[in-house]
Amino acid sequence: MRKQFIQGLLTGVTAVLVGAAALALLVMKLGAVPVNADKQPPVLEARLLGLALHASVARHAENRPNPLPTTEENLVAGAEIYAQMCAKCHGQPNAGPSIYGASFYPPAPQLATHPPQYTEAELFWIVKHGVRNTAMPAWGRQLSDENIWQVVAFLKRLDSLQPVVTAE
Amino acid sequence: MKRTIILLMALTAALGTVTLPAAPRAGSATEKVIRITAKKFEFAPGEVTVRKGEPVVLELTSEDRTHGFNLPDFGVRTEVKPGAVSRVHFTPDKAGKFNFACDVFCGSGHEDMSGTLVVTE
Repeated sequence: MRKQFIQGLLTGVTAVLVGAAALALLVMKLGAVPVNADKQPPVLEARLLGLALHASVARHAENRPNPLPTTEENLVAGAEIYAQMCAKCHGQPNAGPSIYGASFYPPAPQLATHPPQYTEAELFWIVKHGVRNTAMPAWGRQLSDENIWQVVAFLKRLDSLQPVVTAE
Repeated sequence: MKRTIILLMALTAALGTVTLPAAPRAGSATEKVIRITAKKFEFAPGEVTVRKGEPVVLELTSEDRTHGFNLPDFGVRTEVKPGAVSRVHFTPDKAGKFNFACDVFCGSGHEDMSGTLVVTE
């Protein structure tokens, strides 16, 4: 009796899962999934994906401090790299948010006005490896680890830097 | 006594052979030598063709400042400094087109400093 119940339950659960997968596939094949980027992500979607992003970054980033000393030279180098490679999407410190970056789905975080809350190690991981299904590329192919740490040092001190650094 | 000295000398020579640090390798006779020059914001040549399974040594020089050479598909990476030759040895084990790029920030235009390695069968 109990064995029959378990078999029935498993069959039912399997049928529901297969049915749900088939329905999802049908919705996708019919073109019913919106792919336009000119809308704000729904709150639930933003929260769920944000949760997944933060958890994944925390899991994969090595827990280590920035190996570079916080010198003016490193901060200026980080500012220069930020200005050339990042500011177009994430905003320039002295010029406000980027309309270009705000047009992505999801919108690129405006770091110039909202400095990142991630740790330096987490920021290093994000910059080096990028983020899937966003416009954030894996900069590890175009920037050395030293360059990435310089950008990270700059970002974490964005709200307390001297004008000589932010003017780069 | 004489035999002991000879034995010690032979042992010393053998150990010396094993422990001496290897000199920097230039391209050996079996390696294809490819010279690449880096400058803001390009590599010359920008496209390099090699054969799968053929050992390759890249000899990289810079005409202006320090650049990087990053060929991630083959785990190849080095800094390229002016006035010096940076050599990297590898053997391509897969065919196709693979991008290499400068990964030491070198100014406005750095993001366009890249090239292609073509590996033929």
